Amino acid sequence: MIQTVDAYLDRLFDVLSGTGARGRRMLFEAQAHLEEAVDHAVSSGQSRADAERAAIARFGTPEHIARAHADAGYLSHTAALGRVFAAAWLMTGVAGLAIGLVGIFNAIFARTVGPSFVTDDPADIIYSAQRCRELGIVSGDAVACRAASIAHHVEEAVMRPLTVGVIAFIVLALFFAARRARSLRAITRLPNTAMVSTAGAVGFGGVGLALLAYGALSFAVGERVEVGAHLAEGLAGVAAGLVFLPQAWRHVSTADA
Amino acid sequence: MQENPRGQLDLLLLAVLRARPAHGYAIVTALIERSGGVCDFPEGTVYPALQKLEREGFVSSEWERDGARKRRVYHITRAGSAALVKKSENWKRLARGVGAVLAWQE
Repeated sequence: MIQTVDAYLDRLFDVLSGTGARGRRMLFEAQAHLEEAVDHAVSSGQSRADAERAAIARFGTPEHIARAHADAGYLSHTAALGRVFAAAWLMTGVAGLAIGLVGIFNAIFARTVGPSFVTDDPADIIYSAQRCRELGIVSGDAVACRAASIAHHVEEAVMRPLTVGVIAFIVLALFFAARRARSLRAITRLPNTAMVSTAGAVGFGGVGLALLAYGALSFAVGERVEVGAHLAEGLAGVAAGLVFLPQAWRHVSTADA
Repeated sequence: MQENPRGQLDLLLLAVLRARPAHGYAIVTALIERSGGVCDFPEGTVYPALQKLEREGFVSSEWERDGARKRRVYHITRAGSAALVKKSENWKRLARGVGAVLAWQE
């Protein structure tokens, strides 16, 4: 426990570092307050050492004061960076999950509509004998080669996003686990839930809707090749936006309350 | 709804400053004395709250020298007085409501 006003102010200076003029003013006011409290207690007959300990105890720990200072809207650069990091951590996780969803939707489209709905080779591609062998078609039959090539692309369009999704799931699980740890609060506290949820809903949802519209338009004009990939990306984007939408709506609809 | 006096710190600070301009230590002393010790919170948290009130335009402040000691003295502004009236009414209405419910339980 801090015993003297000097030691207390040193510690307060440390925890307020990076808060600029407001932090300097807080430090100066803390000094004036503690000195006056100590003088008052000493003039009432208390020893200076006891008076300093009592004044410090009543004032609150430096960490508590720094938190109150931050809650009042004055974050240190370190704390601000920590909150940006937390938001980036969360957004990266959700974006990764959305990519994983793309893999799932691609798999569904490939199975229900057909592989070429998700991905295809250009119509004028020439399959060499070597390429056919690489795809497992020893006979060199062009139709079989094409089917094998598309199947190979579909597998990539499913497995790669799914792998990203699994990694993102771990990233998000770590984020929420870290949020439970008090010691990691500095890097897991989000800057502003209203801002983060609105950015998530509008960002993911907006991009998702645009991709969905592009895919639907392509489908409407008769395209049947690779349309599924756009629809999958759009659906995943919209799904990610929907994760944030309830909280964003709650904040937006009560913004002036 | 805030459950303790700390949650009403803005209201309490404005109420103290309505009486007269004061520096932080005097504000804290007045809060403790007038509340009979009920307003018992870390004294240092008053300063961030005062800075926030100043940013919102409810108080203004300036450095003043008292002998060898330099202190920041806070004044309530016109907007602060209006906010105090509004916050007081809200608090009294809340207190009446809570009181009525408690009386009904008894």
